Amino acid sequence: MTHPVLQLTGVSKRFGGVQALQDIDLVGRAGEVHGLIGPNGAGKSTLIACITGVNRIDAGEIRLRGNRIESLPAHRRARLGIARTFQKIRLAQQLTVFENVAAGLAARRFARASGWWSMLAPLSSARIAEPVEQALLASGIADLADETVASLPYGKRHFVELARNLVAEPDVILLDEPASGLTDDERERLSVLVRQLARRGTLVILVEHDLDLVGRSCDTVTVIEHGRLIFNGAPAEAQENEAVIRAYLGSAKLARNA
Amino acid sequence: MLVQIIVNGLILAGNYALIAVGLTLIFGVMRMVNFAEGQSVMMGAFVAFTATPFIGYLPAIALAMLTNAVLGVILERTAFRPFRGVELNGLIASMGMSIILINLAELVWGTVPQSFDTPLNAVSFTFGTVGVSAQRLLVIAASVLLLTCLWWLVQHSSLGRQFRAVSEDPEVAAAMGINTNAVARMSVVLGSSLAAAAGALTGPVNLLSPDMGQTEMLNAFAAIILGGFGNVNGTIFGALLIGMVQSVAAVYLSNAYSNSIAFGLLVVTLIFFPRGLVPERLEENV
Amino acid sequence: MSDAAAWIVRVVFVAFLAATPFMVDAYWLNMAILALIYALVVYSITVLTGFAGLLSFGQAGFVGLGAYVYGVMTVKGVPPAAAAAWGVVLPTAVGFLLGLPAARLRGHYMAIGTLGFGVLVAQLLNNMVDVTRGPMGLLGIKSFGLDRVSWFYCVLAIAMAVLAALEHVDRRTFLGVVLKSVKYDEISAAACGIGVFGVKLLAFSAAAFLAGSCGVLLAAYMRFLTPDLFLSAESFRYLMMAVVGGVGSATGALISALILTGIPEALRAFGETNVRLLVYGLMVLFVLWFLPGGIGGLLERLIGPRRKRRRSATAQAAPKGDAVAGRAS
Repeated sequence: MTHPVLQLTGVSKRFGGVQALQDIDLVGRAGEVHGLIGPNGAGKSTLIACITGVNRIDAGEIRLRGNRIESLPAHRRARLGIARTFQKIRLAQQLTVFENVAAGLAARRFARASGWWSMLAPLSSARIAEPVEQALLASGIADLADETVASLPYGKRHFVELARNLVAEPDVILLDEPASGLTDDERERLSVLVRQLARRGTLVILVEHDLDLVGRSCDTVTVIEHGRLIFNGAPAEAQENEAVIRAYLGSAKLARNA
Repeated sequence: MLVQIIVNGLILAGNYALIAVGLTLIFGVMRMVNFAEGQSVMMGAFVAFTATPFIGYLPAIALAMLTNAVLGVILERTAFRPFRGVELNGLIASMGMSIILINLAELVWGTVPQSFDTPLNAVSFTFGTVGVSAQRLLVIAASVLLLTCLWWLVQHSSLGRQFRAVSEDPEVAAAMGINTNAVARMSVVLGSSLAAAAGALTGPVNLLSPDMGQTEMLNAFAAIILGGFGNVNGTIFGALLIGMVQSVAAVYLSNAYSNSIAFGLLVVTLIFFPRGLVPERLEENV
Repeated sequence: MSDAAAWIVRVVFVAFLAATPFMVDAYWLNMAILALIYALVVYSITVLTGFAGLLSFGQAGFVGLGAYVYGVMTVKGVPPAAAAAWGVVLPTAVGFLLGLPAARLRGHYMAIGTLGFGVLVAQLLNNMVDVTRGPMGLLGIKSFGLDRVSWFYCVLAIAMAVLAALEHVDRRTFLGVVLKSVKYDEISAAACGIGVFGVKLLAFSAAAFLAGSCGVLLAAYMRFLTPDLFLSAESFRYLMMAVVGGVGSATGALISALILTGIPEALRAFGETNVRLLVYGLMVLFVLWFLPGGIGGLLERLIGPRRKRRRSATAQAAPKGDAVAGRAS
């Protein structure tokens, strides 16, 4: 039995007097699409921040392929194969789509010590341009490569962030509400992309309000409320679970949408 | 000796605090550094110097503060409002204004340092064996008074609430109906009148020249950083610390190194407390 | 403007600069040399602020360090070439060491922390009389024995070479992307696997290297140093040049260094020194009001967008295999 790709044990995080996360356990396996849901303010984004290293946890363990990573800084975790998108998109507005996606290559290039020496590689060289073009193509934004991010509609920017994640070829990819502000077509493309990623053996953690997307795409669902884990299991069981129904204000919605 | 050190330290501290508090206020409201603050000190000193023979010293201080309030309005319009959000341009624009002010002052008052004599320089009080001039005591008392007024203004007046609202979040403040431009203007007006007071008060203790104010401003920066940017109480604390340390250093070490001492202290502090001794609160929410 | 036209503009610009010795007298040639030397420290701000988004108020400290290391060593009999090497290496090392704490500071804390460094260097140069001769000035600096015209071509070559290198890094290399990712958003840069601290340290050292080189050239050219050439006011003057040039545009930095060094001299026509600087201050304000992007911003508008279509060998290459790149086999 191999290690799960990502394993959280007893993760807790306080902000001042607020217990943002308490004793969270989570197991994510290769090729799994793992939904992370919960009401607003439940701690989903904080959990992502703790996994990616933006925030340090106060207690517990985070293991990536069996190795503990909770004390590593964010960029080291990225180099080990954790990529993410942000709820509020964080891209360099003044740079082109190509340049933004190329930045994602840092995770791979700096994973080796020689990465520092290859920083002078021209952007047009094959080892940079090729993976970037592939990722752009996969995200369906190849035609936008030379536009600045500032000139793109909001929905497209989600795909730039996604492409930046793809180019890093991560083992774990955390998507923080990737479907917000997308058109129906774009949503469809997103869910296709997520399934493709999973088929390639990537663990996708999907933080989502769009329960439709969660129901269709996820293999496993973790539900948190007030920083506590209240459910973990198959999406179908989640709708039956009393705690989940109680936690979700629009509890009927979950059942209806699924 | 001790009295001398304390008095000198308090004078420096009061001077730095008046300048630093103005800078902090402007920074808090607009996220901009007013590089012409040192020249506001200089203008205040010269206006008071010119007016004293006609209206007396204390009214001249008030006049200097008023004149500088007008200067503040001009500064805000020329150096800050056009560059809202482009911090570096505002910084350089205020630097441009400071070049203009220095050269204007040299045209009007000449480049030769002048001594600014007030009746209070002649009166002195004795503490033990040490005589301290009334002017020196006035610098301290007036600094404390002005800083107290400012503290009250920021903490308890409606203007102060607007300051704090805009510092917190300009967009939300604007949505609440606060005129952010007026608040920004007010911050520069207050900042440059406080600087005028600093200049008019310490002018008689030192010499006046158009290039004065620059060193004081650098020390005020150090005070601000020690105290935590945008924090009025911390700034006053920082100014007190730097003033006292310089005063002690001037006696026991050498005067030549007194600036090095302040900045040495600053650099060492930043190594151990990267956000100053009284840090701004922050935890970025992602 | 097409690529070819942009190249023509560049060639004309360089040719125009190269013709300077034939067009001006010794006084202006001297100014041009100084301006080209100062361009190096303005470049250091391009790297630091324009590329990596850091703010330093202490660049004059590195210039002073480079200048005095070179000056003092040649006075003590070290050959100029060796002294020049030390004058570049030492400020770079100091920049690296200062960067260790400074790169952890944010925005204004870094600005004032580096200001502190600048003040300390200026005071040390002034007070270490037995080494630097303090306010009396350092005399008898040995140099490379070049005449003025040779000096001009040397510093022109250096300024153009650094310019080309910076433009290349900025627009065409992965390093440029890495630096600018840190500038625009540290959190997302870290999420991409970029070690923000290391990149800042690199930018800091590179800037110290450029500023130190500026100092060495200054000392070797002028052969006389006083501490007040390196006061904090100088750091602010360099910053002003960088902003007028449009922070982040190396070409703008060069042009701005030339113009802002030249204008105060040209304004001597006004006679009285104060009016001259008054006009200078006003001109800075006018540039900022009407050209918020500085000279670099203007160039971009004239010569065409900075990020025009990047031609790459693989731009139109067909995707290979599965559209989604994956690590798993």
